Amino acid sequence: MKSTVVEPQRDWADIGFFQASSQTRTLQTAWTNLYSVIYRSNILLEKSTTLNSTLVSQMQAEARYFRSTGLF
Amino acid sequence: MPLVTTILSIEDAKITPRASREEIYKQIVDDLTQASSVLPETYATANKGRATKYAAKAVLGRVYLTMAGFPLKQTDKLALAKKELGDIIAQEAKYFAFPASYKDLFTIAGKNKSNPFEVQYISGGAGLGSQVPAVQAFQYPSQWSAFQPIDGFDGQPDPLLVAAFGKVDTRKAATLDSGYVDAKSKAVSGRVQFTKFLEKGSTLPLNNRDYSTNFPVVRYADVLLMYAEILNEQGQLLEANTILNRIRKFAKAPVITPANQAEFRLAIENERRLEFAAEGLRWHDLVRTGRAIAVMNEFAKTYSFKLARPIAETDLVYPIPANEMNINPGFWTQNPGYN
Repeated sequence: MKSTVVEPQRDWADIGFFQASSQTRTLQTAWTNLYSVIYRSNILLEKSTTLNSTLVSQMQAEARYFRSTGLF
Repeated sequence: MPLVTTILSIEDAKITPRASREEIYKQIVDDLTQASSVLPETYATANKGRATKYAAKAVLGRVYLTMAGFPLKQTDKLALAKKELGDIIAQEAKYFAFPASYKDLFTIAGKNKSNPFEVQYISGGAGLGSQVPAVQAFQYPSQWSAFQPIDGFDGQPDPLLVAAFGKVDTRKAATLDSGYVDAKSKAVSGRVQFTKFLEKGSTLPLNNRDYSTNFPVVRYADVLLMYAEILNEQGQLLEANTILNRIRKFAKAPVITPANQAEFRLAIENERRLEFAAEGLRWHDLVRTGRAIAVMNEFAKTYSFKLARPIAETDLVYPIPANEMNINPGFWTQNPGYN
């Protein structure tokens, strides 16, 4: 399936003037950054289960903290 | 938005549907509840800034308060928010000291001293610095910073916000500046700008994205004001107002006495606007309290601001970015009011 990559042209002013659209760059940036937080948290949570360290449970809890802020 | 809690293959990611608001919030609450039960209360100096038990509780309190408001309107969450926030307030003497004055909350010396959670920044050119001061302002005299703000941002304070501070409120001078003269060039500029997170005269930053003051995620004053908001919703106006005025006294603002629940709601809306100006909370406050549409349409009217149409409920939710929708065309539905 061929997909089209849109080059977002507009920015913060879109939001400020209530003209946000699916091409507003600021929103794409926020989406990408927040899902990066979720992705990295998921990696840590999935891969850390076999680690042998007293810090594992603390680090998993930190990952959960950051994942929640990514989702919120 | 799609709820992703495992490492997905590209193929799986293309067929992960949007989750409901309720499902997303359930995951947020689960994560924060687990985090708050495991994370330590505090850290030794070398690890200061990591998420603590109270950081998780503070965000969870905010999450519950948001769930109680628009759009979920689950008012049973108020009591849950109160419990989490109360747990933090019980630790005030130990972990959340008020500094000498309001402006000290936003200094380099004040980092990690007063708040449940802050974004950590370090100057030194390693890419770990803050660009917040350079995004919020538009022009710096040379004695404040060797670097000019980043072009294209320039947050312009609403004149009504500037006026709302009143004469004696110390938060005004800590938040905004106007009428400055460059010590070297003698150039004068009078325009109001946000300088809350600029440590004036600091020689630490190596460029305009390298400032060292932290940016708060949840401040202790926010914990207190959220708690006061809940007390008022539960009919405890006097107790709520005592907390509100504690925040005002710290800022040297005059004591106020809202007469009833409805007046207190507006008082706390105004207080949060002043206390958290330039901290990124107001829009979300207005949305969760159901006030965004009325307030923003009034704002547009005040400044003869040309809107294509009045602000409506569809404006309270952002669109899904086009590039995300195009990953699997036709699979996800765009939010109402956008295409």
